[in-house]
Amino acid sequence: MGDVRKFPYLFLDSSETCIRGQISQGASFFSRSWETHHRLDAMIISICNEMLKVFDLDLLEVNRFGVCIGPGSFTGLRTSIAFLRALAQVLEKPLRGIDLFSWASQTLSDAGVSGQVQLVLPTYRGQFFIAEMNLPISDYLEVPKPVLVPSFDFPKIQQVYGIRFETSKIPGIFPSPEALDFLMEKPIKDGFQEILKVAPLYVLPTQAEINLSKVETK
Amino acid sequence: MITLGIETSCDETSIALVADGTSILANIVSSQIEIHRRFGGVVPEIASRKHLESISPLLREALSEARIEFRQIDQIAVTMGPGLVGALMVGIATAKALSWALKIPLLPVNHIEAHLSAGFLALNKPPSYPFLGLIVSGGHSNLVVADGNRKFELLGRTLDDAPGELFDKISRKLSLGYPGGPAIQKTGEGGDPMRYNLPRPMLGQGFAFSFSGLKTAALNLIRSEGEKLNVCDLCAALQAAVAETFSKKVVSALEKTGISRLVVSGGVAANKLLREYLAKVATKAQIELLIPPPQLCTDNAAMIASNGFFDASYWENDTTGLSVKADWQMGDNL
Repeated sequence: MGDVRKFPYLFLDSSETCIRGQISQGASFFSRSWETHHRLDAMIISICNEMLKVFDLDLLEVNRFGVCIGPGSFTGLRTSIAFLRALAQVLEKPLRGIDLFSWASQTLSDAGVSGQVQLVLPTYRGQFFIAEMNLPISDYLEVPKPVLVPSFDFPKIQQVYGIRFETSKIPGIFPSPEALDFLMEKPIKDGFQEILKVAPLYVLPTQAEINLSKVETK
Repeated sequence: MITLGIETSCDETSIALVADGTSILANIVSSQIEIHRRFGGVVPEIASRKHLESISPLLREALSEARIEFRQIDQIAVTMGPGLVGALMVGIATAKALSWALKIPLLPVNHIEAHLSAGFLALNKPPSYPFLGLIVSGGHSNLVVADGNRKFELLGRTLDDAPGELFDKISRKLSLGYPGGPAIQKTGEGGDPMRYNLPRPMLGQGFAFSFSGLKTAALNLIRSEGEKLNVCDLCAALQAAVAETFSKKVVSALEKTGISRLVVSGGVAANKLLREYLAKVATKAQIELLIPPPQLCTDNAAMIASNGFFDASYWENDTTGLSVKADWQMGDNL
């Protein structure tokens, strides 16, 4: 777990309908998930309160906030990002956005995986995000950006991992609380402009944009 | 008492600071009209994305304009419905975070009820009851009797298209642009409203509205006239049909209820011809007419803050666990 830390953090991941939360205090951290039944907005404060209670913390004692920026549920991500951005803004605390590719690659590295790897994440439209990288890398918050491909039939390289999904050919990698803890502890810039940079990543075009683009191409 | 208002129900992101429910300190509106124009209407997913982009900078701008710091805010009013779920969620999540961090009350606001608050806000006055309320907008047309805080008797509402939808659809058909209301108003200036005989839907049939028949009649006319169509006259005729329909229903409602105060709001209440028709009704019936200026007729957070302030007593229990309600009807509980 490393040295005793001075500052606690609070993190939310709502990229799926089951929201994950993590909080730290000193050298310890606590992580759990909640089923929101599509009522994230109703539950978000009680989820945070529940996490604060674990370490008997007050909200004002949280030193930094973190949020998963995707890819994942559009509405879920927006809700937690809007919530944490507003908290960071009003409390003048830094906010870190962590994407699933950074989190997953850090998890793989922690597990001792090295060399060329491919990370795959399916989207709801049957397309796939794919990122390729050489592990270890110096900063997992700066992993190569994934590309969107229409289908993913067979791994082209040996080490392929599905983020939060697996098949008979592709083992799954489930981003770990330990990897998140490590990423949340890295140095962070503060200030309003930094908060604004935290936004959903790898957002797909809407059906309306796709349709319009087809019409304009014709 | 300072109320922060947050509005994100459709395609306008708005943040306002209002003192004592009547005095606007800041009312910043970021419109997405230009973004949605190319699609010919609001795309909900795009609207939600833009709300998230805009809301934090707008909050900062509103505080700066009002010269208010976060710690000076006493309560937060936010639109909880009706509206687009994804869009509403951005405002609600922001409001909940601020309410929680600042340890101040969160006031859920019904967007349609708030439109009526704009009538009084424009005069820097608290609401006076009873009044007859007419809300005419892109998605709604409701005629209600307001009898107190969150106490409404629904006399009638649209059974199908709202007037704003009607204008949008006809405007799109005529390639006049988006949003349809202002485009049709501009095109119809100087036009002859008598040239085309369009129906006045459901007159003499209670207080419900229906604009789909009028839409079909206009579309049929466009088709049958072809190149002979005088677009300017059609736009004038269409507006006259809408304005006359609303006016006659309002006259009947005033006669039935005996109420002597009429509040009209919503985006379509910015329409010049409708305002003229209703002003004539008010003069003839000798009633008080409250129609806010156009900038308070369209979606804005000042009306949310004002409504939240005056209806605060309605919310006795903790509201932070309440959820978005996309189909929230006027007067209903959450």
